[in-house]
Amino acid sequence: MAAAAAEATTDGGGKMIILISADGKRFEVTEAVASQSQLISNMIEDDCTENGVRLPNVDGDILTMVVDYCNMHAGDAAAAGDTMKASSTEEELKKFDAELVQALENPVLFKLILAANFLNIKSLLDMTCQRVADMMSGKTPEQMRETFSIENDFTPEEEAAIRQENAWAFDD
Amino acid sequence: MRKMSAASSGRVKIGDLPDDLLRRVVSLLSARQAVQTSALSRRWRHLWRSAPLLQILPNDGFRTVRGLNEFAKHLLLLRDRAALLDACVINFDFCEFESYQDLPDDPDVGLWLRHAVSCQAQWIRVEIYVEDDPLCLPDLPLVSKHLRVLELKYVKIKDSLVDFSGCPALEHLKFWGGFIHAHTISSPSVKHMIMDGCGFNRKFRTRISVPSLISLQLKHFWGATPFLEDMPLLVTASVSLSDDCRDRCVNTEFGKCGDPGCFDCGANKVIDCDGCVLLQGLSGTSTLELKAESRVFMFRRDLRWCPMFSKLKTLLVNEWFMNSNMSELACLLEHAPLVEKITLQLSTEPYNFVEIEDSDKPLKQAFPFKNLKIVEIKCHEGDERVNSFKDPEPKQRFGFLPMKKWGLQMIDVSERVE
Repeated sequence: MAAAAAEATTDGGGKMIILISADGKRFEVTEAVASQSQLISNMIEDDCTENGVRLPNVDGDILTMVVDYCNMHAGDAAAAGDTMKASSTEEELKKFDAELVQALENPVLFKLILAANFLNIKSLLDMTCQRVADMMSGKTPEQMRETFSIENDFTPEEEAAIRQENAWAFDD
Repeated sequence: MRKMSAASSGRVKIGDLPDDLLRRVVSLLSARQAVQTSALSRRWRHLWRSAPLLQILPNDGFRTVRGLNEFAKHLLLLRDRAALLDACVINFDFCEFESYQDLPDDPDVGLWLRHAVSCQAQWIRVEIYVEDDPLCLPDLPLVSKHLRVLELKYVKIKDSLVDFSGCPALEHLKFWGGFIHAHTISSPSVKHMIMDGCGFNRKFRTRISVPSLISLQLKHFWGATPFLEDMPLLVTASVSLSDDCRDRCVNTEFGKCGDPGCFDCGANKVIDCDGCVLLQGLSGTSTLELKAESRVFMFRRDLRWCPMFSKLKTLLVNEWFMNSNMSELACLLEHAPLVEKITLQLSTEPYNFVEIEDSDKPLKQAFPFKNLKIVEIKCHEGDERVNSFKDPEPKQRFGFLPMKKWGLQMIDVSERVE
């Protein structure tokens, strides 16, 4: 996966940098691809990516997804000039994005959110948070708790009081 | 930043996300659902109050306008006023309300808008659909140092609201549908503006005064064509005049046909002084699209006062120029010495093309286009109008373009149907 990702970017040109996951997996990507992470972009600017970028907060399996995502989206800016190209690419990207988040089990989705937040990749963070919101949308609080294993730490009296206090948002 | 200790130790739950991220998720819910997350657990109880995005959406399912107003009043009173908003979206379909027919109440959209502004929202979108009679936003100016993007859809807007002198950071302005009843739309700062499907007054021209504009899209409006003031920084513009444009006449090329029975030139005629309405403001562009239904005469009229397009490199026009021996297109090109590429887009629906009586103007003589490299014709397959361009005989309509002499490349893209 990582090799394929690196290969796909060779035509993009630019310097390559190495990302190293918490479990020691190495990913070779172009600077253009990696710069979608504001964190790494800042590191590139500060010239401290020489010996690879260690990401102790991100597992290899999650970093694989992040690198795939960044490879897929690296063309965004380049394609923007050509409207014909951009529209078809945009469709492909949408499909890729939808498939990426929909297939995820909850724990993996949350790991990906944390990674996107840590690496500061805004579009990936927006997309993954939207996925969580979509899963909550249309559900009652009980159903939301069930979907996300949220422990109800209110006493029955407290919960009743909160519903009373916010009755304007619960009643029709 | 919270460490991802939980992440490496296996099953990560939603509770492992830091508050900021939970707030982000909550703000992506509709306002009613966002408040309902207060009943999930202690940690979630107050998150909605400081969510950075406020969304009043159709799926909140309000049955009456009064219910919606009551809800919004609570929402805005109980929100943490110190928590700044990134964005505010107000979006609902009026027709869903049971009380829509007799409209006893109007939604307090103006109040919500001012709340969003006071919470320093950078991005505000208002989209309210009311059949027949759009909801009118209050005739009050917005004053915000933070507002960057404003999108207004399907609403009616009056003069004061579109005076954006109080919004020095505003860069993106978008109007879709709705009705702009204003003498002037002005902003010293807006860089990108889209107006699509809007209505303008039929009796006077709205002046558009946005001197910092870089890109403009003005499409398919109804009513009188707005007057564009000078925009020295404008780079790209696309103007598309539909049949709903008031400046049209089915009988003559420039209106004022004198026929009292003419629907177009009869009552409600726009009172005009001489001078360019659109083209002067567009004259600084390097990429320009000018499209019009053939009976809309605005471009033809403007060409009487044709300005110099001294930076224009790429030009796209549709069939509005195919009258008067194409002298209008010739005139336009004569005033665009640097043009490199011309695209002629012929409508895929030939019935849109209304032959208007040609005037007896003499054909333009061929003149040198030093920079012109590509003439592209886009049309549907089998469109016979293409032949009039391909014929090298100078008697043909397109004779003023010396295709052979200058070795121009003619690309026929008729197979690439739009």
